[in-house]
This record gives sequence, C-alpha cells and structure tokens, in this order.
Amino acid sequence: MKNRIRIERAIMNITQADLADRVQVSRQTINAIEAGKYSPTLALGMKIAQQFEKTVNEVFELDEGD
Amino acid sequence: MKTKYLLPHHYQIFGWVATVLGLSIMFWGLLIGEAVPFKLEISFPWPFTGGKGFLDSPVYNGMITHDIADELLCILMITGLFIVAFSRQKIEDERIAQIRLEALQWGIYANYIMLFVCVLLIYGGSFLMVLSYNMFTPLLIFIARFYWLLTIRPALQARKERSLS
Repeated sequence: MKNRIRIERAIMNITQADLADRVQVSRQTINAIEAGKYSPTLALGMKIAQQFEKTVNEVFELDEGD
Repeated sequence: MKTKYLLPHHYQIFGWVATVLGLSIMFWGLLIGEAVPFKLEISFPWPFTGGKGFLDSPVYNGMITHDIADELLCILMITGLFIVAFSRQKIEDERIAQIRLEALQWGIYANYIMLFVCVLLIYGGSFLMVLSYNMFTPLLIFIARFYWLLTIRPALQARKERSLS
C-alpha cells in the first residue's frame, strides 16, 4: 500500500514519534507504514488521515500487490 | 487495537530472569550428562503401604523421599517462557499484535515439523528426551521468531539501507 504520510508529516512539520504519540502506536509502526512494510487496519488508517485533516483515500493508495 | 489476554509489560523482566536461570541450569545439566545438575530431596509421611508409592518414589518406614529438582526446573522454565511470550510490549499496537500472531503460527509449525522428523528418526529412551524438550520448544521458537521480527530484522534492514545510501 502506497501512502503520503512522509509528505504530510513534512507539511505539518512533525516527526514519526510525534505522529506515533498522536495515534497511540509505536514509532516503529509509523516507520513500517511509511516504508510500505506494514498495511495498517482501517481504524489506524483513519486515525492517521484524521491527524492530517485528510480522508483515508487522500493519504493511502492501493498498490498493485494489494 | 487492544490485545486481550496479555500480562502487563513490567512482568517481562521476571520472565527473562526465570528463563535465563532455567536455561542455564538445563545447559549445566546437559554438560554433566544429567537432566538436572543437582538434587533437592524432600521427605514427607506416606501412610499407605505397597506399590511404588507416590511420585514413583519408594516408601521407607512410612516416609517418602522425592527429588523435586526436575519439577522445579520444569515449572521455572514454563513460567519464565510463558511470561516472556505473553507479556505486553511497552507500546502494544496492532503491528505488534500481528507479529505476535505470525510468530505464534510459525512457532507451532516449526515445532511440529521438528517433532515429525524426531518421530521418524529417534526411538526408545531418547525419544522421551525429545518429548521433554518439546514442552518448551513451541514457546522458545515463538519467542525467537517474535523478537527476530520485532527488533532484529528491522535493525539489520535499517543497517543495510544505511550502508547502501
């Protein structure tokens, strides 16, 4: 799953750790999602998108392999 | 995501202490060719006569003496491994829950593949040893796989990526 988390974080000027704190997961989880190594559940995806004031579709995009 | 049925994170240290202690005693026993390297005999009254008595130990003058070292070691190992395996991480999120599930599945698969091979290749008294080690192997494999996926593999990948860039 492709995502724009890194870009959105840069726009908001927050670190992975900040985002992790806000959505109550570990920094490693945010890192894994950003790197495309872990696909979050719908609930976590919505929480992340909410932090950037975007919809899930604006932050996450299905990949060919999904 | 909340993972149910896990022990609090602070229990983990007790689990590691019990596991390391148990494994050290087991290896010490292996080195000297005994199941348990020391004896811890307790005596207690046994009112019944005939047979071999309780816990497979003989009865002398109404008293039974039994070495509880192996039972204690077994309980120490199982308790330690269980606590390490099933206590929460500091931040127990959905990715860790998924890794936990995957490692558990992997542990059970690997354990039964090994047991299958042992059934075919090992016979007699030696197979009893296999079965006794098999009490711990599902948890041991699970823990090894869990920490490999959680910490070791990401660290190795990060190091590889840093060296490439």
